[in-house]
Amino acid sequence: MWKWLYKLGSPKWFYTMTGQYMPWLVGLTVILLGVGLVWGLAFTPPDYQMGENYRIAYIHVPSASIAMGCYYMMACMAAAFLIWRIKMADMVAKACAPVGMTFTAAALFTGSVWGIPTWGTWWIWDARLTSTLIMLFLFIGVMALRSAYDSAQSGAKASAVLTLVGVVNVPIIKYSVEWWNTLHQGASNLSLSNTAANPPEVWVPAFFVGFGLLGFFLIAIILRTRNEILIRERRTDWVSDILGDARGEN
Amino acid sequence: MGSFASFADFISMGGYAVYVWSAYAFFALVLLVNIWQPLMARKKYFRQQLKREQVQAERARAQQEHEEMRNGNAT
Repeated sequence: MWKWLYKLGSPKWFYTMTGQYMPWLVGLTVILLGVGLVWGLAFTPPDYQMGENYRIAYIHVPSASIAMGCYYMMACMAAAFLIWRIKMADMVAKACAPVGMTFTAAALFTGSVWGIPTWGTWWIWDARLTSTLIMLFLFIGVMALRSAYDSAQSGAKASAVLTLVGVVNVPIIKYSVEWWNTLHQGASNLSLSNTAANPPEVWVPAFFVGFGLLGFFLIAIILRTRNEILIRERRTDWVSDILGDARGEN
Repeated sequence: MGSFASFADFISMGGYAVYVWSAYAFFALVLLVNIWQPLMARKKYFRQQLKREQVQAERARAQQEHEEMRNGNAT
């Protein structure tokens, strides 16, 4: 376990390992997302209250989950970087911010569009929506703070501190629908062990999209982290070997 | 087609076409950006690094030629 963790901290190992597993991850993700989205959009029966409109749920819910998970991941990486000075952790944290920002934006946009016909408004300052908007600003702030420093090291530290300060917001998003009276509905408590609320033809495609989007998220993070590794390790022998291979291609 | 009577029915989404399709379009855009951006950045990186190598190689060659010329003049 520790040996594995130690290896994961090595940029070269991360780069070669992710390169090997990438085709499998891409294949699995395409299948899961493709099946889940087509199923949810065209084959699942309509909701008895919201009609066809509820199909937005298949992208709205996993987008929001991935965005929150992404913030947790960024916070763990920020902590690992600040405590143990693991450079790989900082590279992954840097990759998390833009990906998390886009997924938060997706959750907000799809929610707003869903809200127009069902709530009669695209926006309301209730706890769930406001805390999610704060998460969007946190992702943007973390990126902006990093780029505001001339020294990469100072930027990395500052953005890690801001990330850790902002992590308090994530449980607020999660429990906002329980703690306060919100227009946003409560959690459906959809999990592998509790699927009673909806029939299988409704929740099975949701799991396909959910796991597919998790795969997509990993791909997006890995792609960005690999770029960052190449930039930071450009003076090493193994990166010049990769460049040598690329010379043949161009 | 699945839960819909026809393809036109599927497109119209029971009257919610604007909402459903704009949400899915935004989602697709988010997916696209998250793949396209890092792939382009990678391409750019390789272009820049190879260019830098070329410049360095040319500079080294010019330096060498210059020195050879100087040595030739001296003898």
